[in-house]
Amino acid sequence: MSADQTDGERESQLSAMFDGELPAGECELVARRLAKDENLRRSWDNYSLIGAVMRSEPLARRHLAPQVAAVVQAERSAATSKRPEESGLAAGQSVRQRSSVLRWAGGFGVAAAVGAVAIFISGQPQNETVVAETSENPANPPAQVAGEVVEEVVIPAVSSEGDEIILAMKPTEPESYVTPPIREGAAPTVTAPVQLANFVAAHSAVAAPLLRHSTLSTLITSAPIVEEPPRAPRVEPTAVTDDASARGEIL
Amino acid sequence: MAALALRRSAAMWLAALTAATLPIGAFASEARDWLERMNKALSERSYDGTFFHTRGGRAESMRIVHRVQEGEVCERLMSLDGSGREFVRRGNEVSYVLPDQDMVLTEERPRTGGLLPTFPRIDDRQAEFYEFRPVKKVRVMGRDARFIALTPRDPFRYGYRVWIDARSHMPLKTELHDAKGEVLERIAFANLMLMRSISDETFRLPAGSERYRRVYSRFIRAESSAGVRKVWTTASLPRGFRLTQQVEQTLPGTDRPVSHLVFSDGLASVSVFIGAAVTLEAAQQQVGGTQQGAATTLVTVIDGKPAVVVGEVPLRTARMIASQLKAARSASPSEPRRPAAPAAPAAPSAAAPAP
Repeated sequence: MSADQTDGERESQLSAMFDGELPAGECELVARRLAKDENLRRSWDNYSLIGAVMRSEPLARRHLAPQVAAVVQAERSAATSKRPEESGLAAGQSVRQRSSVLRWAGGFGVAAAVGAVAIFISGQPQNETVVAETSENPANPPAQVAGEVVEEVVIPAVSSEGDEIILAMKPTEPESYVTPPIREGAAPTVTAPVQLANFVAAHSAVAAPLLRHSTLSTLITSAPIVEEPPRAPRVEPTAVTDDASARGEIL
Repeated sequence: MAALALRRSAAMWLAALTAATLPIGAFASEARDWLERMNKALSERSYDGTFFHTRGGRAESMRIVHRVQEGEVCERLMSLDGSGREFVRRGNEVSYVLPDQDMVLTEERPRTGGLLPTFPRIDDRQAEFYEFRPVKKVRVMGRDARFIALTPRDPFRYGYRVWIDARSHMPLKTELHDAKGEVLERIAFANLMLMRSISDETFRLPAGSERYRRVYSRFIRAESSAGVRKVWTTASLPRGFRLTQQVEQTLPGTDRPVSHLVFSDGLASVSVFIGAAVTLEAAQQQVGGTQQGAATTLVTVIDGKPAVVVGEVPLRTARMIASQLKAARSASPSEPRRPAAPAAPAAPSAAAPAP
């Protein structure tokens, strides 16, 4: 649990760095750690993505501050002796090329990963791209995804001719940020009563397609449910007067 | 860069000009067309994508896999973060895998005539309750998209901002906001692929779930609103909402039927479950609402029966619908629908909606 604390601190440091609020000296420290610590790097990936999503920013513009990128890049290429030219600024455009997609999907270079959005419209089947990473997957359907999400998230378990890739981002490894898992016996607000889940489930069958994802997500989310603030007891009958004009009968 | 900005501002001007000259109806119908296309894409295409679902400052990543093949819909939604919960639909069988509860809820739905679920139809009436903005051409996540904005005209419903991919018609990003404009939740795809085929294995329940407790339920009767025994009346509904569906069904873990009423304004829908699926005592104890982003759940008592209201509407809407529902004791299905029909013997219900 104390590890959680440090994680939390690191996260907030990351977050500060991400927002450009961390002093330069600390930035470099974090950047070095980032280069060495894979978990932290994942957090960073996630963090940048989440941040962009939450702020509704165009994702492709998000990238590591250049000096940070440089440090990370240097450390990484020293460690892996792989393609140092692959920098974060290579984001959007070059990803159109299949080969770069492969490298990219292979998870090289945090700089390339952070905030990079590969969006490519495939005129032709993208099979090679897809299958290359997943050849062992058919025996390994996403049921097992829980432990080893990464490749599968970006790349479908089994794909075939003519799949069209609409969006493809660097895989994020979602286990480590923002949303904490449900803690047993912790906050009383985490009700998510199974009883209610039944109803939400049944409702999802009638919700508009646009809202279904949202409704279903409610069901499987691990975020705590926000309870309505306490209110005066018994507001029950006849309390509503808002719109008394229409009077209808339901058959 | 400058050229781009210039072009963009020119486009905005153009949009503003068009906005000024076109009748409102034109926006509405264009927006509606896009929403219909999106509905079609969402429910008829096969796709595999990961999205971030953000609400209340939290983001959670989810993966959705959706397949339509030989008239059967399979779907799988999984939380990639903490809970490990999943929703798996295979044809008419729907399962919820809840590892944190060691439980799998499975529900058998009847085969309905249509392949696809019925959902609220978008029609002209929506313009009464939502303000439609002109559809904008935008770039989002590097794709050509259309931006559709529907702003609620009253606090009984939420507003929507949707970025629809111009080619695939899939929603790349969706925001729900309240009447004040505050964003309640956001769904943004991180990656998304249209698939030609998806293997059956993809829709198998996750490994390990076989040792969980299985709880089954089934529909006992699915009837349209025409032939239902139990008749419920509402004195007044929030503007634009009407009853669109009514079935009797059982829910997982119980044998007793509940009435499931669906109210919709064409976009948002509200389910009201009246009956025994929670005990009256339980309902009385936990009367109250919860809100998670745009999803509202209200436990209450309707006409002496425990009830649960679920919908993507503000709590007040859920509460208003619930408070207006009454059993119409005298009515029978064959009776003509006259507005002020409460027959003589129904003294209590006639007395209730006092001015």
